[in-house]
Amino acid sequence: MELGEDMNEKTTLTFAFMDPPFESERTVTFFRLLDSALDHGANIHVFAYEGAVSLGFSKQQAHGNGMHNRDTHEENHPLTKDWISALRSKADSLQLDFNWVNCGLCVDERGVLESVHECKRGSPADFWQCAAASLNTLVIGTR
Amino acid sequence: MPNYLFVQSQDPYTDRVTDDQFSLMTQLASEGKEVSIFLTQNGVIPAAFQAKCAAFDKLLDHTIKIYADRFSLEQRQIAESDLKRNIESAEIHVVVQAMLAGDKVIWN
Repeated sequence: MELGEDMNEKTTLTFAFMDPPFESERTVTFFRLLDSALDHGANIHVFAYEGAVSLGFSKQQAHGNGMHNRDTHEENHPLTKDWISALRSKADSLQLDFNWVNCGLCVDERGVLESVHECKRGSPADFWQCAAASLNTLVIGTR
Repeated sequence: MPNYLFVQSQDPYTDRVTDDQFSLMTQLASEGKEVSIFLTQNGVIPAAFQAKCAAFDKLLDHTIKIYADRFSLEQRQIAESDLKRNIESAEIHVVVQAMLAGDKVIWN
């Protein structure tokens, strides 16, 4: 299938991810995969568990970098909560589904109760249901 | 018969588990399965022709399609011309296309 090619029937892909924000290169790769999936016209389910429930934490704040004499604007620090919102906007513009479920137990453990509105609270059962309803599932584990 | 795509983010210089991962890939290919690998993150490091890794180089002798993530190559200043034989630079779309094709996609 070529990039941008219309799909006769929209398919759904599920991704499970467990890395916290700002810790691993896997986070960037994961978001690149989600972006690519939208480019291919796929609906997306994400099940975020363990540290990944902080990806959508609404109180993330950008900061400057005094060591390099850059203020907040100049530093332009990326925030994963903004990436989630951007992907949701992109999905909406493409009339695709973008469902993000945070593991509720993992949220409670970490106290990251305030998430951007694109993230819903759920349980591992949601992951099972999403995977069962999807064409394919990719689990990206933390080693 | 399913095709296999391994997303290889781990590199053999810091993760000894890659020995087993590479062994599984060659075993599947030897059994006639269609196996592809998408190298990403530090997984692209052994793809450079200067990199010495016997376990990785064995993969090049099999009928395994090996892609290297262009983004990860650029981050590490590895040029396409620096890649070993039988390795092709590619965008991350390769992974999504495999998922949409119903392949077994496995993250390492």
